[in-house]
Amino acid sequence: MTVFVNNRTRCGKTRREFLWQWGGGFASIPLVDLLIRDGVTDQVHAGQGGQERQQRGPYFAAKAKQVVFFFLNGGPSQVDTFDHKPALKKHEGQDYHRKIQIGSNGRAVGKLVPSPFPFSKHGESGLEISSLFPNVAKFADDLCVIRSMHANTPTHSPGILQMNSGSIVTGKPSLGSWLGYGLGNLNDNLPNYVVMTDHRGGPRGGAAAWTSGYMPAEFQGTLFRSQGAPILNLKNPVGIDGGAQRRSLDVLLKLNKNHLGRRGGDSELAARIESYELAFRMQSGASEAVDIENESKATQDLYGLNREETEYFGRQCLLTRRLLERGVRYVQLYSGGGADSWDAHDDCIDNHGRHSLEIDQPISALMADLKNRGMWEDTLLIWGGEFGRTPTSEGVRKPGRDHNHYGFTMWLAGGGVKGGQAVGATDEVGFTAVDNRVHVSDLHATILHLLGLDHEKLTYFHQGLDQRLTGVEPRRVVEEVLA
Amino acid sequence: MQLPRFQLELLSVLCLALSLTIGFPAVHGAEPTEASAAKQSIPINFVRDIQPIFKKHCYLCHGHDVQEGNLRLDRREHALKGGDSGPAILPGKPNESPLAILVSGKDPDGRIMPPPDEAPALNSTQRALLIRWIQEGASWPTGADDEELAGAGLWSLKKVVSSGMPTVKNKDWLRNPIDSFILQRLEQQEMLPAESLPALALARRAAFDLTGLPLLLEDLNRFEAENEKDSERAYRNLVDRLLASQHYGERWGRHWLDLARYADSNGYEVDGVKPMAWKYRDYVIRALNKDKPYNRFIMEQLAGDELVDVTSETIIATGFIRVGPWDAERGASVQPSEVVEELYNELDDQLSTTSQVFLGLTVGCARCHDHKFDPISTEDYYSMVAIFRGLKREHSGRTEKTRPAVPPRELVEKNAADAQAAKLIEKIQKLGAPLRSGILESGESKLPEDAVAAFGLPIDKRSDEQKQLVQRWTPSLDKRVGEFLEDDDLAGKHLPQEIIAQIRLAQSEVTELKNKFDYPEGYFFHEPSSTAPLTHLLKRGSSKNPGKVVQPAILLEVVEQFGEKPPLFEAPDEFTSRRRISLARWIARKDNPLTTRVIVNRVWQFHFGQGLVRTPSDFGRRGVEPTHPELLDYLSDWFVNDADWSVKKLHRLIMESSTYRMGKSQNVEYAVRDPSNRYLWRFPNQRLEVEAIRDAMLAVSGQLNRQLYGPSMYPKIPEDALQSGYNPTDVWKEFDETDASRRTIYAYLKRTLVVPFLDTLDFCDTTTSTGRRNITTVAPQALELLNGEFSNRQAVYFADRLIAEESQAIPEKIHKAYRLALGRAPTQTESETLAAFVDNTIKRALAKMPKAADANERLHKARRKALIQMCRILFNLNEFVYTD
Repeated sequence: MTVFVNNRTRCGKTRREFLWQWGGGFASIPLVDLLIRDGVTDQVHAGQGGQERQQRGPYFAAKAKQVVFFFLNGGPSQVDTFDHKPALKKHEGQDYHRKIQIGSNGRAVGKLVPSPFPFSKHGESGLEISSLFPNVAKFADDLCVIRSMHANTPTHSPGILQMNSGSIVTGKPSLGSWLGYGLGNLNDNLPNYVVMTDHRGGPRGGAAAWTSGYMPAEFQGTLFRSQGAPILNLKNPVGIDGGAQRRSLDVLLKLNKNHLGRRGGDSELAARIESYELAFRMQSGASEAVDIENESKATQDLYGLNREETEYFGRQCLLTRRLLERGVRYVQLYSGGGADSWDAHDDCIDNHGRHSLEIDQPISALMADLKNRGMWEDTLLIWGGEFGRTPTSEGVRKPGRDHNHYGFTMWLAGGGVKGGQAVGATDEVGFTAVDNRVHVSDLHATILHLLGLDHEKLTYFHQGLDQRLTGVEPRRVVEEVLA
Repeated sequence: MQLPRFQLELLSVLCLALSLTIGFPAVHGAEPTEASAAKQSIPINFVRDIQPIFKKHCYLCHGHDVQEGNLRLDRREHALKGGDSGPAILPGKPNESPLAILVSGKDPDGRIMPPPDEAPALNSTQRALLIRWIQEGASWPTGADDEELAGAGLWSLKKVVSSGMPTVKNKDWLRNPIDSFILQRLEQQEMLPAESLPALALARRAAFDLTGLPLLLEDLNRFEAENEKDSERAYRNLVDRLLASQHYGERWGRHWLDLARYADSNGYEVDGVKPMAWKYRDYVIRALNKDKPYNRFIMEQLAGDELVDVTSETIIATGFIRVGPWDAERGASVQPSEVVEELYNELDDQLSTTSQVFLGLTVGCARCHDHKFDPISTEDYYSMVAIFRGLKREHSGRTEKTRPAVPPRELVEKNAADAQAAKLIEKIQKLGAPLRSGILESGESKLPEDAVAAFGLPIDKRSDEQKQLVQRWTPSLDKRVGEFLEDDDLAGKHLPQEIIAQIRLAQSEVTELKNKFDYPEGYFFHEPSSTAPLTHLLKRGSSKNPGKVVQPAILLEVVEQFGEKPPLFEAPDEFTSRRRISLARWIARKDNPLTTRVIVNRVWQFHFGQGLVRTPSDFGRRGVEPTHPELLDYLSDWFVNDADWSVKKLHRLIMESSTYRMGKSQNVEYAVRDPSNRYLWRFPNQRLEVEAIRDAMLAVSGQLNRQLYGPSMYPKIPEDALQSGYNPTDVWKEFDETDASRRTIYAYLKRTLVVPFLDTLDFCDTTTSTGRRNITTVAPQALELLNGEFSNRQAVYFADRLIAEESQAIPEKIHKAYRLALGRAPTQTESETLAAFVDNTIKRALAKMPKAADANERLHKARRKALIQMCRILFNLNEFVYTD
């Protein structure tokens, strides 16, 4: 028999508390029904008394509670960042020996070309990292670099969908939605799942990357701006100050309570009354969360707010730390957007040089800050894009690299992750994952595991199937990643 | 048919077998690949890997009909227990399990299973699978038995039986047969139906239900007047008027569009426009307004181009098949593998949507393996894929194209006419060439000099810049030439009169041809040929793994359970494969129990918020059984036999009932006994859909633009929301308030950028068919309605509407506001509460204003401000978004 373990808050209280407090009258209505009506639990299963409902997490002790995903939109090149391939020097100018197709609309795959960025060993582990990430490299012993990632498509938009939702087809819930569904909320006044896009624009395919798909809208990602009002409709309308807002809400509350009384009570109506109070609290809560002026100059400088190139991403990283402190479950930060992403077809030197400069310092600042504040063990950090890039060049005179989903690199760090190591490997030149291959869905299974969720048990019934983030194919938790 | 059987008395075990002998042809689809069997990391899945082996090789002697040695392998309980000789399967111990021993040919007595002359032998992969399955514990999930999976007894596949009226005690409550069915169950539970709604509340419910709008004040007044005289008649008249309203189609059309996963763009990265997809949306609204019989509605959407009486309208109706998502980047890729994969995703969308919407079956589950719970095989799936396989998408690269909605028989004529017109136009251009050059040379063209110079050069001599100039100015020049040709004197300067006459004759011929074959453009697929490409069964759903060729067919086992032979597919005619019309005919038959039950249940659900079957698009095993099966069957039978598939008649029947007129009052005792209100002891409480909320705000504020049909409008999207898009500057049209004040169903639906107002308030998923929307109650909704730009703008209009009233007394304005927003007068408490709020707000506003201003002006401003705030409160009331 299933126990409803989700402690997701409703209107500032857990649903259970909320029902209890909402007055003797209907306090004893079984929880299940209210959850059904809210679309929380599955109407199908709950509708049939005998049928088993899905168990939701956590299933075992979680290593991490919160997640930050640095999404390098456009696809960063592995051989220029975390997957050192000295053999490229030897094979420079040669064709890649395997017949392989890249989905770049007929462009030449080009000849092998070594990285223009020197690699060196870092930390006690001696992990090899290129000169693009000198600050992140200081945390080499914390990084678990997966060099054998592979995905299903060399095309941006379905690739972004797959990295977020496990499927290249649109309409599936994203990782953050699954975490919200499986683990519930840690806070009352802020969204559970926050997305911050690049100032140059969002990823291709837009909000599909943080959709809740077939799950209710409450599980979808909320876009957060790092300046001004962080979320839509947070500010009072023009001409209404805090006092006026409160007075209006008081009248609304009174009229709504009368109405509720006439009905003899109703959980939905009561929940809606409470949602206005939560909204009111959120107005101040979210505004307070984004107010980074209270942070010391030293902290701001640490994140790079004092430098033009790092200011934007730095602000987002600092904001991320504040959101984590306030219990946001999942924060996803996009680096690169619109027409200027990591999609370095023509010139890796310029493209990756610029983009890494923007994020290297802020990411390392967040890492240091999390450690200083004792938040490191609770937080899982994920770094990577929808795929990687070819070790060959299609650029003219400059190394410009094409999309590559056959082999690429991502790294994990933080709670539950065994740092200072590389897992898996690509071939001699870094094109194809050959050793200990990790599919995107294997990565998802591993992430869920670190959060205490079993990817095979965390299911959502939709269109006749118990849907999973990791799909129907067998997937595995990458054990080597775990501390 | 039974084959002669070799009695193996000693082997009262399973018949599984050896294959040292003859090589038997491989089974398609169901057979696991060598690769998957070899990979030890993939756990064995009973339904996918093992059951098909039993089915093909063992059931003949150890199945439903015959049980040699008392062993049967089609049921978990029996299989694990074993037969006369004891257990055949010892979980975890393949070496001791008779089944494993016998199939591997390791029996010391030399026996093998299946006996070579009885059933095809197992191949090495199959043997390996069986052994591994036993090794891994012989997992056999409950509910996975063959007959359970085969859907024996699946309620929804049984014939619709209209039973007699149930008898009830409280006959006074009955208004029509619906009530008998509902009351019978309530009386069995010793429950009383909720009290019926007062007239005004019922009127408001009916208005939102049928039109998604509050009643206009004049309609409210009229209803009240009629209600004074004869309340039954007043209500009946009201329902009739609402059903006759053009707004009815907008309300119920939106329900259909949820099912049809309608949107105006393709989704995915490119998210390109679906040009004129709105014509399909308009078709749906019109069809509902006309009360098009539902069977005809089915036929038109699936096969409107194949009908005998095909028209442009019925062709546009087939937009149903095309409005799903399309990943243009893959679909128009240069890589054939990407194109093929995308094609199969599209076909999946088409057949999944079709089978869910019309039949309530989740056929899509059978894409990679036989449906685990419903009688749908992978072969069924691909046989249905074959039905849609001949359809073609008109596109140029990643840009989609429309087509003229020409009935196929007229297409030949139209093509001939087009060719003729093209020749005439060529002739006109040739004859008119001197006029064109004359106008250019003389300066009469009024074109800039550089453009004139560019036109003067031969095409191959023009620079890129000049080519652009020519392109840019050609329309102006053509227009100028046209003006000259209309005037004898002007044209005469450059052309002889007889040539002018020839040109004019040719022009009139062109016009005539164009008018004669003038068909509206629309957004739909077409079958370019009567021969559809071959459809292969794809192993494990992978387009890289094509299996055998399948023929179009309809769900064989489902049909069998209907007690029928598979329907024959029509032969292709000269235009199309006629596969879709064969499917459509089968779906739209009077005696298809799925079709009728599914639609009747949907209509019920959109009235009551929940269906008699609470999984409206899944009538299979994973769905739930009806709460009132007899009522469902009664309605299904009545719908086709008495109402001739008229949805409006069904509305009338439902709305006439006492069941529909029940209130929503809570009953604590019943809520404990029947928390999900399965017995319908009260009317289910459900928030209005976002469309109804937004449209009601517009109607109440007086801003609603009631214009029907046409291209989509663009509601205002906050700048911040646009920023998240891939292309923030170029995705949304400039705000045109009049246009954007049309009903929400006309809002442009961009798959990657759903208008935040809609998104926040639980708009449906646009990527797959939605049978019932999720309804959530969360804080961002409160923020949207409280602080959002739209509701505050409407609050201003609403307040100005009240201010424009003659009487300036605040209580009268409150009274008016309540009539408009809630369709009733305020209670004394409500009136006093709001009056005090307005008064207080006026005082505060006055205190803040500069004293110098004109006193009247100040008071006016303060009153306006207070009324705006009051109107904002009304829009946020629970009662505003929940009807009684």
